[in-house]
Amino acid sequence: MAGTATNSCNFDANLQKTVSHASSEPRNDEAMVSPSRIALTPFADPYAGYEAWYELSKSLGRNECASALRQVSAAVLATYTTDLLLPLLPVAAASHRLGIEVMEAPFNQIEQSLFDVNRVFRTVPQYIVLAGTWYDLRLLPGESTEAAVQAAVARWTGLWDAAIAAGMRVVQLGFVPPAVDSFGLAASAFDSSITASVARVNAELEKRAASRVLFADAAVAASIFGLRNWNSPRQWYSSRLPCSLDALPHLAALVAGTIAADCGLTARCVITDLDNTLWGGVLGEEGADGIAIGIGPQGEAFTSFQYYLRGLRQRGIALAIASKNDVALVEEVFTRNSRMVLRREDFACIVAGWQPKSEQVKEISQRLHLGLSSLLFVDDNAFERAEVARALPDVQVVEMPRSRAAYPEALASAPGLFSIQCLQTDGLRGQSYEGLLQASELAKQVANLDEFLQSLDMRSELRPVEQTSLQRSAQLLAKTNQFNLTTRRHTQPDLERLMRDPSALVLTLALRDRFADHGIVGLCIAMAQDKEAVIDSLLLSCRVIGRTVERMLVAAAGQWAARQGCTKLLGIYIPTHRNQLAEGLYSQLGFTPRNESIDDGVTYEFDLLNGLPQGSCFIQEMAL
Amino acid sequence: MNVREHTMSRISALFASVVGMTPTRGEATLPQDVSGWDSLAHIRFVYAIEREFGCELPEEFLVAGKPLGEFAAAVLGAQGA
Repeated sequence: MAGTATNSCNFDANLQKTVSHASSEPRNDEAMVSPSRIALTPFADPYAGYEAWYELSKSLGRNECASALRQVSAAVLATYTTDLLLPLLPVAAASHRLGIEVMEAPFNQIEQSLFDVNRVFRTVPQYIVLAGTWYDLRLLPGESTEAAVQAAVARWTGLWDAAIAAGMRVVQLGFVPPAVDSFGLAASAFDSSITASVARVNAELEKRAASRVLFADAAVAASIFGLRNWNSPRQWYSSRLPCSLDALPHLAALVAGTIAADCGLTARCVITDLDNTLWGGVLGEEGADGIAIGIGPQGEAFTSFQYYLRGLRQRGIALAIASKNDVALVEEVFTRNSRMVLRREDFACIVAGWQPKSEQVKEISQRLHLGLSSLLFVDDNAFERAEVARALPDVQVVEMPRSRAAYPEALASAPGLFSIQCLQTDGLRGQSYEGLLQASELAKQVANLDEFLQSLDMRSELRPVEQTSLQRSAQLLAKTNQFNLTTRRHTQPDLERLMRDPSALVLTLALRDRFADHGIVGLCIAMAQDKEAVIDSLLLSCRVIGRTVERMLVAAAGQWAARQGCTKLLGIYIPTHRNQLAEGLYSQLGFTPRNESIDDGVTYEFDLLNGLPQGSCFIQEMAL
Repeated sequence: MNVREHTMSRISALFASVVGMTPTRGEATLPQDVSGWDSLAHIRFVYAIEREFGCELPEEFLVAGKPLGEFAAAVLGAQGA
């Protein structure tokens, strides 16, 4: 499914038609591209309102969306009616190229549904969304505020345990405060106000969610939309709706975005244009000192946009430049213009020249080892956006508004930049992309690959998965396409089960080299049965492919299998259209093909009685 | 066509588009007369009316039960006509 053109799907065409984008004024050079043929990343704007989304949900039902990169099942268990919300979830998910099969659950029977999963659901949903309203937090007669807060926290966290035990990934929605509070605008300063109670429950849930559960902050989503517009007491009294109808698309976007980000469907690199995107004016005409940045209403808007992008980099999203400019002039801006917020080193990759933007984007994809669907393209010029969207339909193209002041907002509402609680390792990633580039520069200087690998001074750390590495491991399983031998998308609850299984091994590999600390970049899952151990999953982040890192994992799996008393180590390769580069791995490592097929894959075996698979001579294993 | 008739015809059009059926008994049509006029369709129907006319219907109209004809008067009342 991955890599399917987003414009191949009828639903996308409907989205384009029905939902208005914040779009810039057409330019002359745009006239040569017929709008109906432009393949833009489908984006259903929550501000289009409930009616538009309802229409989209009907067309989605008729035309199965063929462009989904991932397909998941999800159910919502809430203390409110979800009937109007559920049909909007696939609409919101389509913006992320995620397919959601929504499973219905009875209204306000949360405990009953969770503790009797098999009766309520045909199959256990992969994701379970838990949600309440501030009305649930009202004090019982004689109850203290503290007791009510603790009771709410205990209720929901107790539900997490039940859901995780049943193998579901939990999305806990935060509570939205009311628009009206007896304590008025100072409500949060009074512990006994409902506003303060809501905030404390949210803070407590968010803290306890840590890496176990996905916490989606509905209060923030509601405050951006406006609490008075979000809350609708009359809809609550008459229909038990949690919010106004026009707030429902925002709620759906929050749920779908959280699941999509958990599935690894968000962008890993933002590619930006320069002239009139990062600064005002044309560099070739104005010169490095003449471009508008920092001063005046235009210049200040560009400054803010640069701050926004710098924040993305701190979040672990790499930045790159694709510009029709003279590369020497671009470098000059970074060395000479002191008003630039972004520095040269903020960009993992700069491509400047006169080739079409789509070719520049492709080059960035290759240099950073990032798949096209993980790239987000930003350009003020509608013609360039259309050219990239048409040539590379997998790349997410952000529709940019005419107003420079609205640039950050345009990116902030792009589905590809949806964020969930940050993984600690995400910060390392930006650094790692740059280290990667330095390493590839080094590769040009050294005589051969062996010498290059030796000079990288790589050190690996192999550890069984633990609580702190669980989320990163699940992320790798969700995201990795290229160096992934079986592409089995085990989820975090699956991993938690395997952690407790003495006949299973879940091993993480962290790598550092002389340029960067890459964090956890490799994962191996093996299972032992009788005299055979099978490598169920073996994967590497694309950042460290081609460095013999996989040998460390296979060697460790071999040692573990031998300790388990196994005499054979089996490996499986299941081909997809993304993982060809891993095809020959087991043969290279001395495995022999077996005459049997698992999941349409090829099985290999290694006879442990004749010795163990060797690690890599280029990587030093650090002692635990 | 007077204001009330005009309002009624717009409401009937909204009804047809939201519920997907024409009101079988005209202004006297009740939810039990039309199979598609369930509680969810009713919420969407009220939403459509309020958007179309830019007004908020009285609370008793938020739950299905009133005959279709009463919505015209409610709209005109809410608009202050």
